Amino acid sequence: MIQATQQGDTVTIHIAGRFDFRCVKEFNAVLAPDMRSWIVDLGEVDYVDSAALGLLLLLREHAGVDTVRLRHLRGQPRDVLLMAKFDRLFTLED
Amino acid sequence: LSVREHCEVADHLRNVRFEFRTRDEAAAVGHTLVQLLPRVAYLEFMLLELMINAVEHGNLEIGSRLKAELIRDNALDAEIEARLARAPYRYRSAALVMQRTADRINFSISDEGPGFDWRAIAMPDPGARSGRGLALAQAMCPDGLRFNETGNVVTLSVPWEVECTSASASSSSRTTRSSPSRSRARSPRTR
Repeated sequence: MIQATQQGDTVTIHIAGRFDFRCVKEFNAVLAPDMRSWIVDLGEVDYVDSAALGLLLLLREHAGVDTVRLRHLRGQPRDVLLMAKFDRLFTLED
Repeated sequence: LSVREHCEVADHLRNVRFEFRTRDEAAAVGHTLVQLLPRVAYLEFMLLELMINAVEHGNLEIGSRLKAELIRDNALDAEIEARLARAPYRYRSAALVMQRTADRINFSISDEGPGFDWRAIAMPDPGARSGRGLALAQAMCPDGLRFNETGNVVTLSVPWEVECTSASASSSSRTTRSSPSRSRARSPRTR
């Protein structure tokens, strides 16, 4: 499940459950133009696959470098993102 | 299932074959199978990446560059559906075979595509658009992945370790270890 909330020029994307290849359309649907700041809250995600990593990269391309923060990473999603060295691309927040 | 039930079911798993054509089928098969098995770090990720790779890159011959373009254009799902309905792709299926030995579980994932140069697998730069799934699976697999020469069969082998030490097991004073008795410390594991 993917939901987006907007506050000012910041969009927060909440994702719950499995964040995988089945989320492509739903994720793309929340990409609004002209937002200055993006937060992806992964606190309720228990599984990511490589397609989900690709979606985060798309968001980074869409939004611009240094405008995307990944929040509440834990468990398997945290391990996988760190193995892919995404901490070099995104700001990780607790 | 309780840990005890997991142990009892898993102990009966010897040789299993699943066939699948789509990513959804691959995900359902992989997810369900992993629930029956002892916990092995990143097993579900490794299996599903290899199985979905067999569908997308193997049977449907969607190369990494084309896949990246399709994802960018939000057109990957449509291209997969189109190829699944079109010859020669529509006649192809992939298979997952699980075989258990005394102390290991071996998974073999095969497809009917032309294969690929598996020697070129390497972890891409963090920002690269493709090539990440197989490289991550390889990095996660303690003993590495093994491919046939063509590259359309890959084997993943992990240790078989089952210990029934949950509260339910200990309360009945039963502790089962279905692999040959071999005691060693286990690191925390996740699926």
